[in-house]
Amino acid sequence: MIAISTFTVFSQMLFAQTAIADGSPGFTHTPLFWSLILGTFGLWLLLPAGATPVRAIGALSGAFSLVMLFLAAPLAGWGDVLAAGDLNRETPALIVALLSLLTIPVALAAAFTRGKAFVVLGALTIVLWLASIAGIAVFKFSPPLRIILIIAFALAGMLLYFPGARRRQRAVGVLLATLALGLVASLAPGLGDEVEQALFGVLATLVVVSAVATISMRSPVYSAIWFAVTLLTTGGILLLEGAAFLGVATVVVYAGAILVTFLFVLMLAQPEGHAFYDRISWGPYAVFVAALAGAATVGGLTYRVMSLDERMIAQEAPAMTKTQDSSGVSPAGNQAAARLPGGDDHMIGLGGNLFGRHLIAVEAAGVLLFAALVGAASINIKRKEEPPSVARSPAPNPTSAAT
Amino acid sequence: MHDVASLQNYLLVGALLFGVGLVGFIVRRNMIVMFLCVEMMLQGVAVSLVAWGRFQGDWGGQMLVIFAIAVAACEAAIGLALILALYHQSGRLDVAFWQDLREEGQPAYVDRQIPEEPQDERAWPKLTPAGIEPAIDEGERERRRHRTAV
Repeated sequence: MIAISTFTVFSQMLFAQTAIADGSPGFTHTPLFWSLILGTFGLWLLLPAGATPVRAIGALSGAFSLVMLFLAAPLAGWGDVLAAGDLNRETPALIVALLSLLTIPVALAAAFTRGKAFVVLGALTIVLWLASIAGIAVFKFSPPLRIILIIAFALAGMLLYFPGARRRQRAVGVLLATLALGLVASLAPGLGDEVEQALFGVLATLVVVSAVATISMRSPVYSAIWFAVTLLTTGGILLLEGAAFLGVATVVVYAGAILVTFLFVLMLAQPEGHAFYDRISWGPYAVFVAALAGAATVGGLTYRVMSLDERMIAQEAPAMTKTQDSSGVSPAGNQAAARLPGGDDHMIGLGGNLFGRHLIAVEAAGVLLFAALVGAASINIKRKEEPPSVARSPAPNPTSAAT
Repeated sequence: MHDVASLQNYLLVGALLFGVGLVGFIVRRNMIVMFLCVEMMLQGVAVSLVAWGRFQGDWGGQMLVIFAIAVAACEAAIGLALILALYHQSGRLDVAFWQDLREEGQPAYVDRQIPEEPQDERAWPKLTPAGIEPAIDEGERERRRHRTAV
């Protein structure tokens, strides 16, 4: 089944490539392609089946591929910048090289702390902030001073507040962090383009890193905790996308309710110590094929996405469409109709839509939730009058009394 | 940021989440982690849907995500109950335990070589001590002695 899906996706990719190939540069020359290859390799080595040093190599190459992948989007629009004539042709390669150098501090942090996950995450965040600021400075040719100040304050605050610091240091750290927060708040009202981009870069990378950590942790408890990080950052991304209610709902419903249920079941069903099946999964071959299938899926999806630009423009040219500029400062045109309201009107619009047009679906969802409640309860009810069933359990079951 | 570029970024993140979840679902054998991976794929789809909805100026994407969250909650409740029932039968969360439900004629999957657990993972994490231990006065000591005696 895996092989079939891989083959399907690959053939789709090839088809898409040949269909759009004329005029556009070849797919193999984009950073996207190489980042996919590197990422597959990294995921293969990282997933639980290998020894620890092998997994370290996997993590490094995965991080490198991530940097390249996030560069793919700005580089796709690089043609416009080139056409403006401000920059020369070597600049993208230069930026790629510089940003890939930035992964070195993360690796150093990982080496010095012997892989303490949250320290590495913190270092990664800081490096990302710096990288995104550097990227914006390159793109805009004007260093946004306030953002640099915020980052400096936040960085110093984090460093001073680290566990192990003395009390006075911690106080200074809290002070600096508060300053940084205040500066962020001063930026907030018109969440500017640069800030949104920087926030997006950080959040997106944290999402992907924590997602990979979720599937590569050997202990399922750590997996669940990393998944919580994924959910929180996904909530942040939804907020950035202007879906405020959904962002909050993700944090409350997913991270607050569903994930806690997961952890509860995990604690209930966790055998003593680490289980062997978390260490080996299905063996290296299956892991490799799976990583390949995942990369093919992502490659197919992103290749379509990256070629979206040209198709959209081609579509836009003959007729007036609903697309428009989200920056809000675009010249007035045919674009009053189709923008989702933000701010206070967001909830009004959402609620009106949910309980107006989708009212029956809401009722159906209520019925579904109730049915799920009853079903979940009835699955685990023990019937007393049944004769003792022929259990196939190899181990005695210590937790059945708990349900 | 240009609108199409922003849409592309969000779609990229959604695709990555989906792909990572897919790989995890195929690779992991722990049923709960497989379930987490399915939820991760749902998250990827949610990010993409909201991005498209924002791009098109339409509420449909967000509506669909709201209902997807509701269905995911149901699914988690039922699925975890089923996993718990399976665990009560087998004593482990391993999905390979249930491979005798496979199709006729398929060879069984056998673990070839189980690696040793690394030394540093055998130790469970400890919480760093926090706070100040309260001074024990006479009455408290008396009570504790009484409790240990009982």
